[in-house]
Amino acid sequence: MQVDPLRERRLNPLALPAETNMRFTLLVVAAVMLIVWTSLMLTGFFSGLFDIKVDFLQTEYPSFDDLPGDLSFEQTMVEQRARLLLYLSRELGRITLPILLLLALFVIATIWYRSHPYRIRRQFPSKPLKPDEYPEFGRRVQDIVLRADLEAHPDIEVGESLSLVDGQAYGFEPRYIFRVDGGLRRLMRKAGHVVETVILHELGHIANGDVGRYYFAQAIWLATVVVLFAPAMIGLAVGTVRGIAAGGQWGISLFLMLQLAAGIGLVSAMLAGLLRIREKYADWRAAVWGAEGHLKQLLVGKSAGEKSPLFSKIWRRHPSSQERLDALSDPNDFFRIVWDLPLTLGVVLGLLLGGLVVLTIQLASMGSALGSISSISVALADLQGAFRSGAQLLDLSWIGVNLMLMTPFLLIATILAGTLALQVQREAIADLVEQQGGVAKYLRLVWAALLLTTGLEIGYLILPPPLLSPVVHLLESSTFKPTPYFFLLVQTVVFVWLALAFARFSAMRVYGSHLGASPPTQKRRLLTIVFALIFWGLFLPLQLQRMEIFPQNTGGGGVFSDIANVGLIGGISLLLAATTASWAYSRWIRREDQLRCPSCGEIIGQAVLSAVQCAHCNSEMAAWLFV
Amino acid sequence: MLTDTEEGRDYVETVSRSIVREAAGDELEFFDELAAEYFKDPSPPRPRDPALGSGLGEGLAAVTPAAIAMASAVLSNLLGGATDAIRDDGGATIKQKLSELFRRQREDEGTKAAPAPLTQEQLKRVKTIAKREAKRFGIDDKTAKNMADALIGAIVLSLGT
Repeated sequence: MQVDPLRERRLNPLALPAETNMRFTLLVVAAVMLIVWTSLMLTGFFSGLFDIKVDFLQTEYPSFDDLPGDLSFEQTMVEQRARLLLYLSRELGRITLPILLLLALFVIATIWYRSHPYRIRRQFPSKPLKPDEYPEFGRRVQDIVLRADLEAHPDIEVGESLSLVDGQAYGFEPRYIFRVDGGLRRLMRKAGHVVETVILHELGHIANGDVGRYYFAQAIWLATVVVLFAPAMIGLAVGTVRGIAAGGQWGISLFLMLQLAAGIGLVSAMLAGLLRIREKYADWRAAVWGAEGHLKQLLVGKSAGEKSPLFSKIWRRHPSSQERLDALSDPNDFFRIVWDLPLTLGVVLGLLLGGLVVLTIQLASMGSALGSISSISVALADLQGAFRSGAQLLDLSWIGVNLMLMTPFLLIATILAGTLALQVQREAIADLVEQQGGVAKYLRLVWAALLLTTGLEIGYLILPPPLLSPVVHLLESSTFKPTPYFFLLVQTVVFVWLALAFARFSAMRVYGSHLGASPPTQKRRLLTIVFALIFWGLFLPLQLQRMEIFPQNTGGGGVFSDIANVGLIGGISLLLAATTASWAYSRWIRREDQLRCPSCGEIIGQAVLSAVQCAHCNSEMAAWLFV
Repeated sequence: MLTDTEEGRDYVETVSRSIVREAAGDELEFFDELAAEYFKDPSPPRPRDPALGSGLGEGLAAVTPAAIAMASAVLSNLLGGATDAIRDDGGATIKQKLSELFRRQREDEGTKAAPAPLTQEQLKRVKTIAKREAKRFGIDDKTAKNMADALIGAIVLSLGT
């Protein structure tokens, strides 16, 4: 494609999956984990409050050792089977509430999401924009909509009130609804640039594909509050008051209230982060369509009187005018790692890990029980203590249990690969274009690793109950081991940094030589898988080590030592192999002197992303990255 | 309220139209629509949740609702207790009441010359009320001042003094 030298080319932040997608995923995961674990905690808490016998976390697995020694073999098996059935029924009963609450979460969220057009129309009455009713205005609006290269044009409505001056895109794919407020009619002659800018900004949301995510994220937030937070806070408050009045223990319920409040704050901050970034993306899109000058003009006027207290910045659902101006002034702003992403990601991973460690142990125990009930050979293996010995590597039951334990951690690794690692890749691409590199860029990733590690600790702490957090153990100083914990933190930072450094290294070499108009989707997916496996191997053992550092609450981690070692060796090996492969790819397979321009077919002979244009025909070599 | 009667409403609209003509002439073609909207719900537009839109339209408030609110508040204040009398007494028009008010002021000052129809104190009060109403409807200070001046001029002109 010939490049018009007079038209400014911008880096396209949507060449890779948008940051809004990542943040939406994190929001949903955080909401789900908080609901699951808080409901489990509440089940135990309120059962105690109302003197109902329900175990807090996990019913003790019925061991053969507990049976009387004078039973015959057949009697032993029958007795054990009965105990296992009782165990299974109790466990299933305990996870019933979380399952029901999760179902309620998604049902409420779906209903709220699907009904948002009706609520919006009720709040802002509007009617379809008819050409003959407001001919001049309608014509101008249609012209502006046509300028926006949307795949499907939205249905346009005009608000009844002339006082409101804005627009809103809502509805569902593929036919969105776009409402222009009535006030834009009166501004069309005096301030047509305002009308154009507002419309292009809102259409930007449609083009960016974030309309549905926005309303569903709102629905998730509302459903989380309705299903869990509000009833739980009320219940805990009642419990605290009752505890104080009775002169009994109220500290636990107060601590749980604080944890819940932190959870509310977390989900709220994540929603706010998602909403802020989508506005900046919409501004970017409007700028691409030619509204940059007017947009900046409007924002400069608004920024003069705006105040943005530091504390409220985290929960602010709309970026300040200055933040929007900064993003417009530096189009590569979207390619930088924002500090809240690794921190938020760390918190979500902490919630996931803290919950999954216990959940998978529980599921593994249930699986063992089911196996023992249904198969005599499995029961015999259990009798011989196969599930408690890591030496039985060839035992299928043991392998199955451990695979079950490892799999959820792959989910965690995949989330990291699709969020922070992707953002690191995005930054690497921008640096390639700007010809910025060097060791300093790699060292800068340490702060991202530090923030993620900090977020992990926060996530462990606010998860009820905080099994993997040192805080609980600090209260019982006899069991807390500070030195291993400190080294664990350092290892975590180092290994996360190694994984992120690989993400940068591989992105520069793999994406750096990608030519043509289509984005490197397959390459990105491959890199995501490789990164996820590396992170899984490096990160998993570290977190399992926690179970050894905090054995009192986690039941010990000795059985996982073998998995941890295998994971670590595998992760490091894969890291070295993938790094070498990335280097070889750019050095031998996709060398500059082998690449040909997609337009003229001549050898490029220069760095693709740095040069941007072919030296022979001036065509854009990497049109996939620019707009 | 002054606008509870048809005459009161007509007079307020007349004065408001003059204000809009002076302060935002391009809005005049939308005056009737905006006035109808105002009388349906006289409260100022509620601050909109910025997350629901682009956030770019703030600070572009319509002048008409502010003008009507301004005129209504100022006239009610000037007429004071006469507002009820106007409502009850179909024979006394607002203009008559205002004229009487200003004539009494001139008599009190002991002059037959034609001074400003409003005293300094009234002017100050009128401007304060006018700006307060304008601010309630999101009008900036400069436009509010212009509107207040236009309001005073409109009242004077309507009395033919």
